[in-house]
Amino acid sequence: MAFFFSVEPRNLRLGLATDGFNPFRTLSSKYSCWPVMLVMYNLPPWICMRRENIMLTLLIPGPKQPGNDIDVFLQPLIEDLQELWNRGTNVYDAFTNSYFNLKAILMWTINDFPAYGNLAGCTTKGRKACPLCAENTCSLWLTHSKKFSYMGHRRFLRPHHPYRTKKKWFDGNNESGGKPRILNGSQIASSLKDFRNDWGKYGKKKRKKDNDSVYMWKKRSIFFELSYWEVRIIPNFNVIFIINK
Amino acid sequence: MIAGDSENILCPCKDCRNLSYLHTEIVYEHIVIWGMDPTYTTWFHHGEQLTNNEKQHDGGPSEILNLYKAAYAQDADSGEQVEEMLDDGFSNFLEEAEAPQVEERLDDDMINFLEEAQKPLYPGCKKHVKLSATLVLYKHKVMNRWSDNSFNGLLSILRDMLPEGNVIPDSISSARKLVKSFDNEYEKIHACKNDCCLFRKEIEGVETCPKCGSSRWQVDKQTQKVRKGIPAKVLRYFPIIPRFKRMFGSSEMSKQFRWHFTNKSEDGNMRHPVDSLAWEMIDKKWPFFFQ
Repeated sequence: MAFFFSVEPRNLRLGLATDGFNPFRTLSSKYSCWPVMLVMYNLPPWICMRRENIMLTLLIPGPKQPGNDIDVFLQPLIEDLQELWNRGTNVYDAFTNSYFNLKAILMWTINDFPAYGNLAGCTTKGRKACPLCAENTCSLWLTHSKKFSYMGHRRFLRPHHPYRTKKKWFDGNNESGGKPRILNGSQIASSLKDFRNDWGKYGKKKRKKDNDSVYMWKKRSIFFELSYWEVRIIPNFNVIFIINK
Repeated sequence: MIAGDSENILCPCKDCRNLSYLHTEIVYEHIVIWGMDPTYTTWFHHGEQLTNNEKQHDGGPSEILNLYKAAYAQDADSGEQVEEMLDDGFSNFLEEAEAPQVEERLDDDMINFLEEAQKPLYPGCKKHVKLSATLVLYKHKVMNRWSDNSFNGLLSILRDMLPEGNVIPDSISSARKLVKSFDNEYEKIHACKNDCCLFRKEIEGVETCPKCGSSRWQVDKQTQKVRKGIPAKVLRYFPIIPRFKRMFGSSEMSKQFRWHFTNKSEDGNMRHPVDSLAWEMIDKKWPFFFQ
């Protein structure tokens, strides 16, 4: 059975966007509502980002934010997306007055950094905060400020760059390391294939530090249910902006 | 399209892209430094005539207005009313009103319903049909925060005033029903209040969460009584497949869905996600393969 995707121009390319907001005007009530929206990139740029063309698909109620349990709420949407990828759906095209089989692919997600952690299932705070560097995240605990600082940025410079030896300008050390390897999607998927997800905010036990390589992962994201998701070069969660807390 | 001062013209360089009026000498410098905008092939800003095939993609209201006019092509006069409605969510209803033109793919109920909605407001009325009149009135009610009773009163007065055989709805509830029938429905899925699970599929009829044991229904805080029938948490899911079907049901939108296929940028500049690496990767990975 032949599987067409890119040859058919009408097949949909989607992006998923989510973030929390307080729907009540009075800031005295703390309530977090999480809408999940789909953007259709097939459309021209002057149309695709308009309010009327961004589809609201899910409205996740509060009062607290879903956090990592957002996967529970994404189930109906992911099932529909799977159906649209595996089988497609028969749709009438009013422009050509004919039926065709419509498929859709979810290309990326659009969110801020904390929501990135919720969707991807990786930690975004603390010692191993970088989703790309993973265990190789360079972090430094500042004892007096009582927070983590991430000073390993000189690793990305070319090998004999002068900044690598400027100890006093940076953290007091020479930087001799190289760029860390970024895990690709299939490596992440295979390391998480036996991960048992634990939903719900009731009676959570503290996780043991038994397996270091998956320690920074909090769940096996529901996006891996989409068969094309792991075939990515890098974890494909787009960050639109990072909130500095 | 030349400003009062004849020395200033729109600069067609890659940077300005016909957005700023500059002195001709500065325009000359810009073109030398940055070059002409390669997408500006017919110089309509500088006096050349556009042929019928070419469209001016200036975006903004004119494009969308055309889409809605196409969906609602009753009369040139109704264009004004269409413009008023652009800003609020009623635009969806207008687009869906185009659906009746293609009747063979709809079931009988829907056909009858759409015929009913397309009836002229009164015999011989050229400006409005039942649907458009209802929408205009309903919008006015909402924007001005009229009470339901006052609206009912207005409807009965209008029913009396309009010529015999008018089809104006007789009450706010029938007006709402008419408007709501073009709505895409949404599913209300009950969820556990601790976010453990959704009460659907295998556990649809279950009364307590299989994981944490909390009740599916709301529990009164003071009396600790379970208020059966009122769920503790409700997820609203707006199914995407019927919505996509509706979008393809409009010929204008359906045409726009093909835009990405022929509009990848040729000069290497990124203007739209179609120019991105991820898109290219998808095209290469899944053009066509056998299962």
